[in-house]
Amino acid sequence: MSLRRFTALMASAVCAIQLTVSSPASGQELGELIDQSINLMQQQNWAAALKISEDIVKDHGGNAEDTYGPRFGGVYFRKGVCELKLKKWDAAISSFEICYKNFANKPGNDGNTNPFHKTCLLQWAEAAMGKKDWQQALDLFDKFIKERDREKDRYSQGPFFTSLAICHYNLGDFVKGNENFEIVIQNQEKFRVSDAMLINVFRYLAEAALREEGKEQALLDFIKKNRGAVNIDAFDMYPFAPAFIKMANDALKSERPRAAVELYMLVPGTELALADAKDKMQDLGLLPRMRISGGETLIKKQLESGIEQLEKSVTSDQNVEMIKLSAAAFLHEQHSNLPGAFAAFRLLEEFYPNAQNREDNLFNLARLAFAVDASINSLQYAQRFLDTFPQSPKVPVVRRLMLSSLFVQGKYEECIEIANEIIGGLPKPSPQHDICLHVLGGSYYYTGQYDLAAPHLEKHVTDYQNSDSKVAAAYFHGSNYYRLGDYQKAGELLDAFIGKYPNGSENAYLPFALLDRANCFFMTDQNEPALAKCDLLIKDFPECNILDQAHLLRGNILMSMDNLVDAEGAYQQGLRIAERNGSPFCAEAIYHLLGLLIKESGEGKPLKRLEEAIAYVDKFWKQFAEDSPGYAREIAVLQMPILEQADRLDEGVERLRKIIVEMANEDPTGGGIEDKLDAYTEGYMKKHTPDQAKAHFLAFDGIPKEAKAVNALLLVKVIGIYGDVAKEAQKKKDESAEQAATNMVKALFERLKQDYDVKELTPSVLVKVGDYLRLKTATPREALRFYNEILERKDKANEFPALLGRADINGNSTIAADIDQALADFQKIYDSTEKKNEKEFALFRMIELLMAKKDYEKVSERCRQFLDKDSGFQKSRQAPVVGLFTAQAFEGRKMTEDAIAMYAKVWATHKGAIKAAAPAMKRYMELLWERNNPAPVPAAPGQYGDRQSAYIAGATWIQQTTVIRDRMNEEDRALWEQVDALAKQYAANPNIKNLEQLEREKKPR
Amino acid sequence: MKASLFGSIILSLALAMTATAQNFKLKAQAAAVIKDEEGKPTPRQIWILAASDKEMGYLESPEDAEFQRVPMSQVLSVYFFESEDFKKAVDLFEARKYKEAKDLFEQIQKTHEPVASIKNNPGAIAQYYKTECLRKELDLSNMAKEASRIKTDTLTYELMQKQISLYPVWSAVGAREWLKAEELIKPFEKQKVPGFMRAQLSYCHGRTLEGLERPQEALLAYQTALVADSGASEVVVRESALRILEILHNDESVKEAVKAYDASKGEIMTAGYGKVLEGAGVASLFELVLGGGTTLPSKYKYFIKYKLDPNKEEGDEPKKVEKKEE
Repeated sequence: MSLRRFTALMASAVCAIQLTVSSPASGQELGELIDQSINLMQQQNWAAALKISEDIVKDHGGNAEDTYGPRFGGVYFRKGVCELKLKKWDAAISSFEICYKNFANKPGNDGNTNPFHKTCLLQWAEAAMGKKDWQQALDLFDKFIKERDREKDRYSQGPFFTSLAICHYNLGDFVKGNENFEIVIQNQEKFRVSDAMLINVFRYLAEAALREEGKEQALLDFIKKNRGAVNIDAFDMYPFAPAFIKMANDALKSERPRAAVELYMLVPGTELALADAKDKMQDLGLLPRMRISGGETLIKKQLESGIEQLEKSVTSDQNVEMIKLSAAAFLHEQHSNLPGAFAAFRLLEEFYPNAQNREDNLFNLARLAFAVDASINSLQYAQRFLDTFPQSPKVPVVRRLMLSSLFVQGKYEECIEIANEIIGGLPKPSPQHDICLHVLGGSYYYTGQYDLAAPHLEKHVTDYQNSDSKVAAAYFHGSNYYRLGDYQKAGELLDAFIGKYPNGSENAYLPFALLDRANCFFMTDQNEPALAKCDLLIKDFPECNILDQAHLLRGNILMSMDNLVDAEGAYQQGLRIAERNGSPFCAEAIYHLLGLLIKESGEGKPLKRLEEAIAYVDKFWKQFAEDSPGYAREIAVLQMPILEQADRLDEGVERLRKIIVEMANEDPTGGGIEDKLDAYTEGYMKKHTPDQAKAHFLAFDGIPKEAKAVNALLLVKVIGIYGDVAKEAQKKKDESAEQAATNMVKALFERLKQDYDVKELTPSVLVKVGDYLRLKTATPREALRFYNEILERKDKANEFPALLGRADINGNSTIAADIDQALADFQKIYDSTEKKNEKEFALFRMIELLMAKKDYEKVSERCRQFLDKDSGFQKSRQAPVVGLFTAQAFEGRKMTEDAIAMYAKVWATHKGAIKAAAPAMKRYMELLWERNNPAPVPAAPGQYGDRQSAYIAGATWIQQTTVIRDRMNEEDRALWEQVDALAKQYAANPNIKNLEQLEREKKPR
Repeated sequence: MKASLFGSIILSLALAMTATAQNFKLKAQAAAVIKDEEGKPTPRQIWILAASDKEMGYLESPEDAEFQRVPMSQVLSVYFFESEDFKKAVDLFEARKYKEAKDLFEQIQKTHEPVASIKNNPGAIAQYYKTECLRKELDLSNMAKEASRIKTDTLTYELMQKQISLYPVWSAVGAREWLKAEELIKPFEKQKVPGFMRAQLSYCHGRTLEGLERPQEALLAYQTALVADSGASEVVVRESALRILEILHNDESVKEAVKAYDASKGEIMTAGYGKVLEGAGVASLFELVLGGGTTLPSKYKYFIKYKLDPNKEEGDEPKKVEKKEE
């Protein structure tokens, strides 16, 4: 730009001089040609003008010095100017050199002078600059200054000094460059230098500074000193925008951010330039052009065209604003200020959605949104990207980012939704499928959906053994089995995990794995290894955030080993750590400590360390209850005996009341509320009558009517209260009170049946109603619909009591199909339950039912199972009866000798168990009587025939059990009396000697 | 209005009682288009002495002793050439020497009171610049006072109008009227505005959000101020960077993250680590460019040591522990 202006000024000066070169031979012709060339130059038709000058030189240049004298130098000068304009640098240099060297003015050449003899040095220098021969240019400028005639050879100082500055900058001499540039700046008005010219020089300065290593500071120093000079009007600066943007971009890429930012700052936004142009139009008013300062002229046409271009640029798909924002984003991200980069891309997306590279912008926005603060709704941009550019090759990355980010942020529900949506369409194997699978399994794991997590975790560890998330995946895999209750499998996987990644500094999941492994051991009654894992965790990870949990688990293990002293220490340590870390496990620690203090004193007995217990209770409610609502509900129950002993029962009752109301409103189905109601009822009844309880419970303040399950539970509680009243009255033999209470129970049950649909009742209420109908009414089969309701639900709570109830009813049926159903239910209980009493009962009832079916083979098999030394039921209350069934099954199988032996075993082993011993004895006597084997001959003392033996066994048993006869219930007494009668019947036989006779015979005569 | 009235009094008195130009202190060189006697618009270079709504007094040559007067209805346009003082004041302003610039603009504004009624007169522009100087110095209460003195009907430049439209926001921030500021900022949120406006609005928004005790939201507003116009709004950028650092410096999660990171020798990255990186980025950029040559306050210097090395391999980053819930 500067070169063009410099040349233009000089060229116009040249053209303004009317030159006529006269030739003795063809002066007229040459003069016309020169005029033509000048005209064409004035029209800026440089090529045509050059052609004429070339023709002149060709036709007249030979010996021109002698023929035309110095003034012919003008032809070469004009030729050079045209060549300069056409950027034919070498040709121009040659022309100016000839003009200078061959057509020098000589003394005495009056009237025939070369007016360009010295000034052509300036053009020559300009051509050298065009050729980037900066030193030659400087030398020529210097030569001009030294040789010029001060009067004749005038020059424009503005272009002169700017050219000097440019040459120096390009030679890397910033001191001399700045020296000359500042002369221009300080004399801008006087030199009539426009702002645009200044910026052009500054561009050379910037380019030179950035070109050379370590010269960035020269640029920064100059800007700091001359900021006002380089901050020109936006409209004037705008044409330089591409050059400055390029320099700034290069500076940014070459890690010279300070220079880059300074250069970006100089480039005005399109809208700013447009507003400035409009302001300039205002200044111009009605005028077509106006010189507003030494170097500045406002030209209406230029402004109009500028406005038109800028208006297009404002709405174009690539303008300065977009470039600058992208650069800002790059700079901030490069310096780890991701929110800054995010902010820049957000502006790009919000205000420049038509950007040519919107796909990149939106992708970067989505990418950075995930990386910056989680409060920013990062997903919306990712989703927008997916919606807008569904075919983009970046789609898999965005989806992966969405998942990874959500996962790290703990937004597992969203992870599950997205992962499930996309996993089917992902190529396998692929990095995105790897992450998707990991996130899906992990999210199910973290949300407690362990059964759903299992297949994904399993697949991940199998298919992606070298995944980036292989450590996490392996941990989840093992831990998930622990949470599913498969302690064996979990233990194996966790052991493998711990063995494979044993270094805690590389495996962040190691402490979690140790804790889970300890839990697995504990859950399978392997206390010693469980303790060992806890100890290892505590020793190796003293700073980990689950240390409190490790101590609490340690406490639980020690408690189960009845080592209450060490357990207490562990719980206290857990509490201390949890308190220090502000962990939610403070509540659990106190819960265990309270449990320990209660256990230490013996269930139901006064606490030995009441004050300590009270201190824990108070600490809990003061410090931790608010943040641990779950434990608050449990401790509200646990603390009742403690508060009662401390004479603060009312406080406990009131707290439970609030909790019950809170839970009923929170979950109208009454989940988890029952034990709170039990504790509340117990506490309440300490100071209230049954009728008060009935009035209070059946219209419980704060519990909405819609909470049907809860209200049903309350009704059941009242039934229980009157049931207790009836029992108490029965004990006191107060028949009328018993009857009244029983009637109340009946009425309340009726109300329960009528007022509540089975669908509205909780499993526990359903069981209670079912059990009542089954056990306490004449219509037990009515209970079936309550049990069936439980068994039809997905929630398996109370499944076994329901199965037991149903099987019991069906077992009492005479219909074969009912009995088969009962057998199936009992078998299911036996196979599934972990409760010993439920297992025992199920097995016993199966034996009973098989007996009823006379399936003696199976009875024998089941009885063996029951009485096996490893069954744990040998000492069971039902063991004598099972023995009896065994004997009866032998009989059924025609194994009389075995039956006799088994009957003998039953009555001999369980003499006092009349229910089994009496029938066993009776049948034993009968079988011996029927067998009727004689006594051996000769018979040893005490050796008798079968019939005598049958009598002796029965009569002796009667003698031995007579002492408990009065304590027998009617059923047992009837059985006993049958044996007594049989013994007497046999004694009446003349062949039988009664016990007295036998006794007498024993005495020595 | 006051300046215009003053100019009007001067003019009427001068025209009535004197006939020489010596009574006028001002000779403002201007290019004007004035209708000639035949009503033809004629460009003239004149030296304006004073003007009212009704008429204008001027010289055709600065040396003239007698002045001309023309009804304003005949004056089609006036462009005031920049005086040396004005140029100097603008240069000072561009060189960020706001105090000196403000004094000079004040002087210019006073000198040009006699022509205050003319559109875009140097006094009106000086008044605008004076307000800008105060804004740049963050003297917002005085800025508000000066802003109220700008006559928008005589200052019609689009660029200045845009800036003037932001003064109510700045004034509300200066007066700590946060709710009002939020209301004023809201309409701009979805509006496309030039970068310099976005930078200022974002800074003001940041201040407002801080005032409303929402510092975490303020962070993003300040970050937007940093990037909106490539840092050209140097005061806004510097102050925004400092506010970001202050918020992060006081953030508990940042303190925890720094503690954990230091204790683990860079192994442990807690939830606040992202903010530590943000602080590191802003602090290092402050030293490079955002500070505009000012020194990073020593209390924020510790952030810099947490800056990620961009040349470091991705795998070298501290380990991030996925969320573990029990």
